[in-house]
Parts: sequence; C-alpha cells; structure tokens
Amino acid sequence: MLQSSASSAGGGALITDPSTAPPGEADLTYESGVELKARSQWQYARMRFFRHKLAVVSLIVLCLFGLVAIFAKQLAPYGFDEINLETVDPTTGLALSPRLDDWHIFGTDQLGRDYLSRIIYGIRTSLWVALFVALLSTAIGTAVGAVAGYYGGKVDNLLMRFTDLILTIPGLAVLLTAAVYFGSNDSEVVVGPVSFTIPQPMKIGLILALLFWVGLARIVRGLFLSLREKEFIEAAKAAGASDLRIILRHILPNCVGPIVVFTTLITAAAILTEAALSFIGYGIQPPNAALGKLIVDGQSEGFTLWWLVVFPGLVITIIALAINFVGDGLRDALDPTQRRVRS
Amino acid sequence: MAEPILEIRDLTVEFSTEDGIVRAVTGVSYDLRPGEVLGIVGESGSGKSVSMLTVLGLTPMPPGRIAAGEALYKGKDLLDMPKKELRDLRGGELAMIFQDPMTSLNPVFTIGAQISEALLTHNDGMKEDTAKARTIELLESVGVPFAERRVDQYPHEFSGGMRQRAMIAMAMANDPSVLIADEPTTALDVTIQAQIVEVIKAAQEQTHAAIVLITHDLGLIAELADRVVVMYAGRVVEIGDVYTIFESPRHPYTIGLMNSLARVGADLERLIPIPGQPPSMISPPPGCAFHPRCTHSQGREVCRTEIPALRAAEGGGDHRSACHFAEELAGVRAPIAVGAE
Amino acid sequence: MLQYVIRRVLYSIVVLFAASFLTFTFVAVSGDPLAPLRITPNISQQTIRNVEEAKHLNDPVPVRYWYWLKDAVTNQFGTTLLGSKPILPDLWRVMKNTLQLVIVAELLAILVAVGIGVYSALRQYSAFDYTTTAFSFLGLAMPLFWLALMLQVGVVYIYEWTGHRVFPIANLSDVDPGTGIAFWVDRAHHLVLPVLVLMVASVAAYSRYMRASMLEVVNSDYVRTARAKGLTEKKVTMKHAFRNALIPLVTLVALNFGAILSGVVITETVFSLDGMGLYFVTALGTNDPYPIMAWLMITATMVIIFNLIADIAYGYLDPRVRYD
Repeated sequence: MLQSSASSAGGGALITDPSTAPPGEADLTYESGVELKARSQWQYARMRFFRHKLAVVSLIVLCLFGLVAIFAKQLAPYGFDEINLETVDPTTGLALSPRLDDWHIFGTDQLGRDYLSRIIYGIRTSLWVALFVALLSTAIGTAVGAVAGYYGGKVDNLLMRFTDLILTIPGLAVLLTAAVYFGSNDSEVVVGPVSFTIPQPMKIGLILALLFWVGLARIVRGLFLSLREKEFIEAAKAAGASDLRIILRHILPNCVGPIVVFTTLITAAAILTEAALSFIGYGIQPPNAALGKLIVDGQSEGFTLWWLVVFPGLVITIIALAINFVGDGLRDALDPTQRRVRS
Repeated sequence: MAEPILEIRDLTVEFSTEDGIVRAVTGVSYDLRPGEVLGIVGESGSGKSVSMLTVLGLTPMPPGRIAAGEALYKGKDLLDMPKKELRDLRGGELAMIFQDPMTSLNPVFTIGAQISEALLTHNDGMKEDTAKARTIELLESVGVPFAERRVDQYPHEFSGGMRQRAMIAMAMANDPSVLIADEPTTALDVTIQAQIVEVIKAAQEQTHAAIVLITHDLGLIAELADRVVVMYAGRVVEIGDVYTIFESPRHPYTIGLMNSLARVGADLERLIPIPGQPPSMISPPPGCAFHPRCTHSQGREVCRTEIPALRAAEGGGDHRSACHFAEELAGVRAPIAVGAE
Repeated sequence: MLQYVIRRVLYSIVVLFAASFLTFTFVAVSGDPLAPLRITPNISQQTIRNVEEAKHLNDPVPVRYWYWLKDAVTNQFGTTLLGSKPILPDLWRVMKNTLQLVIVAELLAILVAVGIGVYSALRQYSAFDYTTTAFSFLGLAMPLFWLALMLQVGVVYIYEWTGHRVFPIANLSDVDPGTGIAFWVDRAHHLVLPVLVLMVASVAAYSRYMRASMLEVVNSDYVRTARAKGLTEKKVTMKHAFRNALIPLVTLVALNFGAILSGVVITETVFSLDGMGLYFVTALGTNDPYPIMAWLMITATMVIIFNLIADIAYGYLDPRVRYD
C-alpha cells in the first residue's frame, strides 16, 4: 500500500546516471517522498476481513453465544430440569408464555421448566458438539486429502471413488442409521488400565465427523494436486526436503484459506444436522440438552404454546447465519485472488 | 496527407474502485490514418488498452466513466452514439482481436459457428450455408490448414497459434476499416508470434485496413508499425513515425525504453532498466507523472509541478513529445536501427 | 460414449455390492430385530427360536448377507422380519409418492433459482440482488424441520383468525384415488407446503451458485469478444453467457440428489406424508435390516443413475469433456 506524502521530501538521492546506481536501491524511494510500507499477509487478511461489516458483527454475535455456552451455569436463571410448580397459567397450565416476571423471558414448557435456561444449556451442547465435529473432520479430512493429493496414484483413485459415493448418498439416512445403532447411549471404552466414558453427545459428534470429513478431503486433495506441481516444490525437493516436510511446511500453509472457510461451513452444517437428528429422535438424548429436541418436544402443542417451537429454532438459525457470514468474510479475506463476487 | 479515419481527442476515462477513483486515461489524443499501422506502446497500466476499449464501447460503464473527450470515426463521435449504431460498427467496420485466444473464444461453440456469427450479425439476410462457406474461405486465408474440417472443431482442439489465426479471421470477416489488435502475440510462443505477425501483415495488405497495434513489445512495433504512440500513466508522452521514435526519441521515458532493450552487437555488462516503479493511478505524483523516475529532470521544479503538454519536437512531421525539456534531449541516446523493410 | 457409459455402469454395480455388504454387516450386527418379541410375555422361547432359525439370525454375517442377497434379487427384496410383509410393494408405493414431491420441488427450484441467479448477476448490488442474497443466506441457515413447523403453525393461525383452511398441513390426500381430477387437485393442494419447504434449501443454494457462475462468465474474455463482434446485449447474455454459466449447475443439481432425500426425510416426517422418508424413519425404529437395506440399495441405485445422467448431460453441454 502506497502512502504518499503531500509535499515532496526532496531528500532522496538524485539519480543522474542509472547505469551507476547500485542495484536495488533505485527502486525503493522516489524523490517525491513516496514510500512503500511492507505488511505481512496476515495483516492484509485481517484488514480485508474487517471491511465486511456483516462478518464482523456475526463474529461478535458468535463470541457472545460462546460466552453464553461457557458460562451457562452462571447465566441460566434456573436449572435445566428444574420444574416450577408454583406459577400456573389459567389457559396453558404449567406452560407459561414469555413474560418478564421471574426471568421467564422465553416462557416455560409443559412441565414448568424455564425455557431460557433450557435453551442456554441447549446452546452449550450444540456449540461444543459442532466445534468437536468441525475440528475432528478438519483433522481427518486434511490428513487424508493431503496424502491422497500428494502421492496420487492408486491411493488417490480409491479415495476419489469412495468419496464420490459418500458425498452423494443421502447423508441424513446414513447418519440416522448410525445414530440409531451406535449413538444412542454413552459408551465405556477400556484401554489397558484406563477406562473412560464417551458421553453420548460426543458419539453423535463422532458420527457426524465421520461423514463430514469427506468434503474437506476432496478440497484438500484438489489443492495438493495443483500445488504439488508448482516450481517451489521442485525447489524444495532439490534442496533435499523430505516428503513430510514438504507437505507440512510448504504445501499445507498455502491451503489454510480454503480449509478454514470449509471448516466454518462444516460447523454450520453440524449444528443444523445435529438439530435434525435430535428432531427425529435419534440425536442427542436426554439428560443432555439439545435445541432440536426442545423443538420436537414442543411440537405437539406448537399451535398454542408457540414459544416452545419458535425460540430454539430462532437460536439455531441465528447461530448458523452468523457462522455463514463469518465464513463468507473469511473467504474474501483469505483468498484475494478471487474477484469480488460476493455470493 | 489523408484524412484521419479515427480521431481521438482529449479522452479521459475514470474507474471507481474500493480504494478511490482511478484515472486510467487522461487527455489522450491521437489520430489513425487509413491504411496505416499505428503502434501504441506502454507498460501494463499505462492505459493503452483502456483507451481503445472505451472507444469501442467495451469498457464496462458502471465502474468506468468517460469523464471527457470524443472519438470521431469518419466524423461521428463514437462515444456519443446511440448504442445500436455503435453495435453496428463494432465487429463490422471496427474490429478487435484480443490477447489470449484460449479465453477469448467461447469454449462451447465451434470455431466455425463463432466466425459465422460475426458474418450473420452484420449481414442481414445472409444464409447460414453462405456464411459457412465464407467462414471456410476466411480460415484458409489466415493459413488454417484443412479448413473444411477444422471449421466444425472446438477451440480446445486448436493450438494457440491456430486460435489466434481464427480470431483474426473472425475480425476480418466483415472487411473492417479499422482493426484493433490488443497484445495479439503476448500469449504465444516466440515462433508462433512470428507467424501471427505474418498473418496480420498479409491481412493488412489484402484489405488495406488501418491497424491499431497495442503492445509492450518494441520488437513487434519495429516490425509492423508506421507510426508510434508512447503512453505512460494514462497520458500520451510521445508520438511520431516509427523511425523517428526509434532513432531520435525525444522523451526520457521513450529513451529509457529504447535503452532497456537487449541489443545484438551492443557491448553491455548489464541491462539498463528504468529505475523505480510505475506510479499509483489513484494518487499519481504531481506534475509530470514520470518525474520520479526521470534521469533528465534533475529535480527541476517545473517537472514536479506542471504537467507537460504534447509539443512539437524536432523530428518534424507530427513528432511530438510531452516533456518540459525535450529540446535538451537532442542526440542524447544511440539509436536502434529499425530493420529495412 | 457408449463405452464410457458401460464402464461406469459396471463399475457402479461393483460399488453397489461392496456398499451393500458393508451396510448389511453394520445393520445386522448392531440391532436386535426380535427385541419387541422378547419382551412380549406371551411368546414362548420356542417361538422365538423358530423365528431365529427361519430368518437365519444365528448364522454368521456373510451367510446372512448371502440370504439377503438371494432374497433381494429373486424375491423382490424379501419380506420384513416381523410379520413377513413383502417389502417391495410398500417401497414402490412410497417411492412414487416421494418422486411426485421431489420432481415438482426440484423443477420449480431450478426455474426459480436460475431466474434469480441470472437476474442478480446482471443487476449486481441492486436492491433485488441484496434481498435475494439475504433470503439465500436465511434459507441455508434455517433448520428445515423448523421452517416446516412454522409453516404449519402459520396455517393454523390463519385458520383461527379467518376460518380459512389455506393449505392442508398433513397427509397426502383427503380424497380417494380414482376420483380423477378431484384427486389430483387435492393431492396438489396437500403438496403445496411440503414442496415449498423442500424448495427453500435448493433455491438458496442453486441461486447463489448460478449468480456466481453467471458473474464469472459475464466478465470472461469470450463474452467480451462476443460484444466486440457487435452482438446485442441480449444475445451476448442469453446465447454466450447463460449457456456457459448453466453448465456447472447441472452437476450441482445432480449431485444434490442425496441432500434432497435428506430433506425429504424431514419434510415427510413433519407433514406425515406417506413417502420414502417416513418409511425409512419407521423402518429404523423396527431394527429390521431388510427394509432398511432395501431402502438404502434403491436409494444408492437412484443416486448412481443420477450421477450418470449428470455426467452425460455435462458432456453434452461442454464439448471440452466429451472425449474422456
């Protein structure tokens, strides 16, 4: 970025005969005091990101949700399963419509449980499961895609056929099948002397991750395939770099942009898919909180007790929307070669 | 001297961008005479393409804007014409070929279909088979072998040189009076470049069209051009016939260009580049745009404050230079001998 | 071309076998289809053992797979474990219903999305563009089942206020089949809300894609050449730009088929439509591998057929990939 000063500085060296000027120096300063200020790639990316007001606002929103999730216990006015039998509404019984008394901002459900609290705990579960899915899928997808793209040949071929099929079959059906058979309860895992439980929501997360890594693997593979042919890789090989080093230090850093963007897409998809699974009944099970489950529980009386259905769905929508906007902003920020086609 | 077929007067074109307004072309004036080859030389960003694209109405006008100027073709202002009239001229009397033939041809239509389209658009009532026959003739005339077969092939089945020939055929289809060639050889191998130069020469000899040759390749200019326009930072800095420009340039930028060429027979240890970088078009330097890099200016005040006008220079004829101190440049640099044609 | 198709079909059959074996193993190993029987007090152990024998439930998995395969090929995918109800007729019936829903939804979605995408691209940054982009974002962020529920609630509220039943909110028909036009009109009426729900996600995704594709094409060099030839803007847009922009969308639509089916599962569940989606969810509840397998196999075949069609269509539209 050029920063020009209004008046000419006149302080730079006057170059009268270009053939005697030391090489390199002639390029940097002009007589009129125009200078170049170097900035790193990350600073450029950050600048470009902050130009997108929508993305910035969404980022703030997401951080707020994150705080809500982390401090759920402190923020929720009631417990998740806390039943309140005192206040009774004449028409709707224990279920109270949204009101300001007693902090029932989102009302209560059919058993008198405060909905705001239930939603807060639901946010916490949804967010950490989604994050878990995103990180796991990214790790697996990047590793597999890198290997396939870098080494090519039979391994790559096999991978492509496999991912082709997975990407096109109805994901929900497969997920449901897996969730029904594997994901309905906590698991005890014994590794030698150590045993630990995998909580049920994490199993759902695992199942989701096992489906979502595929998309990322394809993208990473494509990137590796094209970057592998570039001259700087040849140069690295000529300098004696090992395959692992080339993959980790040379090619991977160039893929960060698309990977990050796709990870945000996975996160949004994870939230929506987990909600769908919970809605059908095979997702996150009680006693864990799940926004999708809240909706399905309130469905039967959704006509009179509308807040039971509206609020959890609204929350999911806002979170997914925010993630998508941030992803859009990241895409613009990290891939400057793309023309300003805001999609 | 014959009446100019195309007169560009004081053309100024701006673009609004995220970072500000870019003045791609400022106060540009030059003429094109019938049957001549006019070379427009400059670095990337000098505005050489933008001026021609704007004249033909091909510059997208939302970000772009014609701030001033006119472009008279046979007396009528192209910039002020109703769109339909300009469209009739475009592809008909005013044709253009572009730099990269691979991306400049539609990949889903056959070469023949695209050339025939040019014919059918400008000849109401022409039948499809007539157009196809003429297309085959055109392909033969630019040297595409087996034209009857190739006419039904797709662009990706042609080699780079063949594609450019096809583009030239497409441009010449309607016997244009003006052919604008925007970097016609830049995307091609050197050996193919030479072939394309021959094709362009032959096309000109057959049709006597005036050719505007936009390029940064001085060798191409030396071989094809009759007159030369040198552009820098969106302005014309020197105009003259090709011998004058090459042998007695009178603008420090032109001199710098001529110096920077590698020459057979010259005894140099190092190539001599022009120091510095091209200026930012959003906030160009005050005064003469070239002064920060000019070895001739020596920091003189008028260079830093006043934009030099295009004035007559010693080459005579219509040799003009936009330098405050053009007179001092008499006999400054050794010439490159322009090949005898 | 024919060679290519044959090769693809053969290869797909192999993949189908492999996938079927994997899935069968998975389903067979993890659930106990006789669980409902076991907890019913009146059924003796002997009865249970008889059923186990008849359905080969105690054999090793590959053997069970073999029985399933035989049944699938020769006996129309066999019968359910409990109750021995033939599977194929049921599956066929629900498939027809679902296809009605899906085909209408997709065709409409494509029409709308292409229109929106092209118009947004040509009028970039206009009010129309911003509005449709906002709706696209919304459409992709909203949980489908939530949207379906809200539509249902909305219809009920309209009924409460105006006494008007605007659209039916459940089931496929209130009129018996065989009553001719009346039946179809009623069916269409019932499908309005489900089609709308299915369309939302598709339109959102396709229109964004079409817009991006169109923008890229409209700024391409060959479109500039078309203009330089003196063609009218309309011809440039419709003939040169549009056709090129459409090509990637074809692949997207075909590949999206799986996602559509996922949407179908949800939509049919919410609206209680007798289609493939509801069939699958119900089958899952019974832990019976036979209907689940049948469903998965048929779906996978449809997906493969769609992919093949997409490839052929792509080859037709884009000459660069023809001689593969």
